[in-house]
Amino acid sequence: MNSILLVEDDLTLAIMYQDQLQLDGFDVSLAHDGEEGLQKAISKKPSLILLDIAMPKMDGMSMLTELRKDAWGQNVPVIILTIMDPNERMLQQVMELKPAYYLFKANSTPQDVSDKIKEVLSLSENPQPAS
Amino acid sequence: MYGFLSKLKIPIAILFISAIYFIAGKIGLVLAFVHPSVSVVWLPTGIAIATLLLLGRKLWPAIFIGAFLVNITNEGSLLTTLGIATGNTLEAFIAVWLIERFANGRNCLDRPQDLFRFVLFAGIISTAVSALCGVFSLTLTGFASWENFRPLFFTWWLGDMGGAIIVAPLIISWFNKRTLNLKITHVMEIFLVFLLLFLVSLVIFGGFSTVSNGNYSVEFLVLPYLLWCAFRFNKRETATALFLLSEIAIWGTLNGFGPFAKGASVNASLFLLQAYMNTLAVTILMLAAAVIQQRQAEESAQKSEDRYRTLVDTSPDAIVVMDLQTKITMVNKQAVNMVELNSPSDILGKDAFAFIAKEDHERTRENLAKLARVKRLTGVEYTIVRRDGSRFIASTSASLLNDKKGNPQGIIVVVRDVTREKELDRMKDEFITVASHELRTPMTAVKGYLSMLLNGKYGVVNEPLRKPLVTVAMATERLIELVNDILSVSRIETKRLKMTLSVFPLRSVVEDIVLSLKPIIHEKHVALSDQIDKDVSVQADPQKLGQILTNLIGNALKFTDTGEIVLHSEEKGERMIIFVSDTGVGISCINQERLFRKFQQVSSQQAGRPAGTGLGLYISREYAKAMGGDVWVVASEEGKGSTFALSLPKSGTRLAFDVRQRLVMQMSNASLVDEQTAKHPSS
Repeated sequence: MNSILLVEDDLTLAIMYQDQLQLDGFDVSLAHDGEEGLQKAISKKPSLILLDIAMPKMDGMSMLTELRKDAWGQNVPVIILTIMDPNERMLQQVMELKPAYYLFKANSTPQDVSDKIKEVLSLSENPQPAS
Repeated sequence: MYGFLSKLKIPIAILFISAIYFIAGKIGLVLAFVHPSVSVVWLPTGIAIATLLLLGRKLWPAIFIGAFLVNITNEGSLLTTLGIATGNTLEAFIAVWLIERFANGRNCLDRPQDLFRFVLFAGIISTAVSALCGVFSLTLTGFASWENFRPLFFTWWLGDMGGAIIVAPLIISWFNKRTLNLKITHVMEIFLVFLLLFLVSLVIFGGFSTVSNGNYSVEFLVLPYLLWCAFRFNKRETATALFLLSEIAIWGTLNGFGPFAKGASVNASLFLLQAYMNTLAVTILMLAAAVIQQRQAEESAQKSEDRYRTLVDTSPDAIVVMDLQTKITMVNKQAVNMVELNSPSDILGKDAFAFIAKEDHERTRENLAKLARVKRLTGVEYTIVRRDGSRFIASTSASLLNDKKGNPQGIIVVVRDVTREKELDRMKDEFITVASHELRTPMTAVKGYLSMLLNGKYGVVNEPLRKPLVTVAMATERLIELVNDILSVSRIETKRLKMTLSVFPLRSVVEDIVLSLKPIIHEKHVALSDQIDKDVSVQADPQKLGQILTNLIGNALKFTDTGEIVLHSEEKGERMIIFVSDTGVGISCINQERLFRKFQQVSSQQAGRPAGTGLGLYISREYAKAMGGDVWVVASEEGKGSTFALSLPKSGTRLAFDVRQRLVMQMSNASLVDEQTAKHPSS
């Protein structure tokens, strides 16, 4: 079973996504801030990380920056799930950290998120030959 | 006393003044040697002129009564007396009328040109009238012989002249309002100069030294003391000194002392003395007036300089003047405070670059070169370094200072610390960011759960339940749209709108938008004809352009039930114009402009149509304007349809360049706030 680490500080949203993903058959673990997220990511090595940006203690960008320094963490697929409008500078920073997707919470239903995860995981399980 | 006199009722004033005139006249007649009615020293003329000048010509009866009484109690008939009194009254009246009209009235002693006229009118013309009247009256009534007419006339004239030139200025200067300088050193100096003048006058005219009786022109020895008065003090002191000298000289001459006591008769001696005194008085008073005028000019220049200085120093902005080599030549207090130094001397003479952060030096040099061309540069920001090395952002406005020929001599720079403004901007950004985060999070939860419910994630949803859930889902969509729009409006209104301009062919944006609207187009059975020339490149923020087009096409779809929606484009000058035409309900003329205001919708025709936020067109227009374009209604008719237009600068045009420049300026002045600002305070 694919394991997902959901890093999300808002409890309501966290449970909502957790519900959707569990119902879709994923093994979901939760982290409530970037620090906890980083720790759980390194220890649990999930198949994919669903990452919020605005969070206390350590925000999503910092967590991802740290994660990408890790040998395992540099390749783990990450989907960023944010509530904010992006600005140019932020988008540039995000792209350097190679997320698989950058999704807006307000525009994506939990089903959309789940679909993207399935898509990314099927890609990472069967990497397409470089062309 | 002047105030007291001016408050008296006219009859009392007349009584009072005529009494003074009478006494002065009687004293004058004591010195009447050539004829019992003709005196070579006639103080009443001065009293009369000064009184009418200070208190008004309406008091002329006082002069007439005074003069009448002086002469009726002297020898002569009633007719003679009436003639002399008329002459005396006319003299004062004419003098004052001329002075008021041509010599600046009661301020006639303040300027040399006015004083000159005063001497002419009061000293020469009016006194001649009085002398003529008087001497004619005496001769015609047989109280004087015609052979004596000339000496009598000249004696009378000169006597009155002395009164006009020596006594009138004394009274005018004392009773004209002017505060006394009671500083002890000043009073001591006056006392000293008067004492010296008194002693010298006694020596020259009082017979206290043999020198006064020798055949020497010692009368000029008083000059230094009179000059002292004229240069150091005011006209009041000068007029007093002249009067003092005049009285001592008359007294001495009468007693046979002094350089003028050599005449054939006492009258001849007094005649010579009066000629001397009048000339001296005119010269010294003229000099005093010139000095006063000069002093006033200096004071006014100083005042103007002080006012200017105060203005500069009370400015909340720092003002710095530098030469063309950027050496600072003048600063105000605020400039000193701004860099936390103690006094202007800490800054003067230094190079302005010393206060500008190193990384800004290159840009400063470029701007200096630019300033030479454009003469004035405003709103340029620099990082300024304080004495302790700390820094702040300053907004500056620089202008070239030119000399009379228009050659640049220096640069004046007004510097404003914008730290606080920057902080406010940052807070505005932060507010919008936090508000976005806090509003969207719960709405996302509602929307997400609803979609999961409707997808049957929590069990099968039966039909009766599905309907209200769909309604809630639609309302939630509206709410999300509204929040997004309100956040956009608050960005627009707080001027925190961020644009990322790029150049791209219309194709890349238009095709995406049309594709995303396909499901709705299909649902509504409305045809969409896309005739936009998509190869033309525009300069815009692609995301914002997408929002505008979605709004315009979305509105067309919302209000069109049958027919088609046509998109086409036109190149017009530096702009590309995109038209969105529909065959929908149309908008009445009155409503066409209203639509672009916030929260305005055409309500009457909206029954049964999906509600909007009423912000879409307002936001679209503001976005378009920020990109150098506009959104407007081209044509619309109720029941027939509408055409909306969106203009954008074509790439590579002058307009596109200007818009980019403007945006760069705004961006460089705005701070960027990213998502991290929205961190939760509690953790």
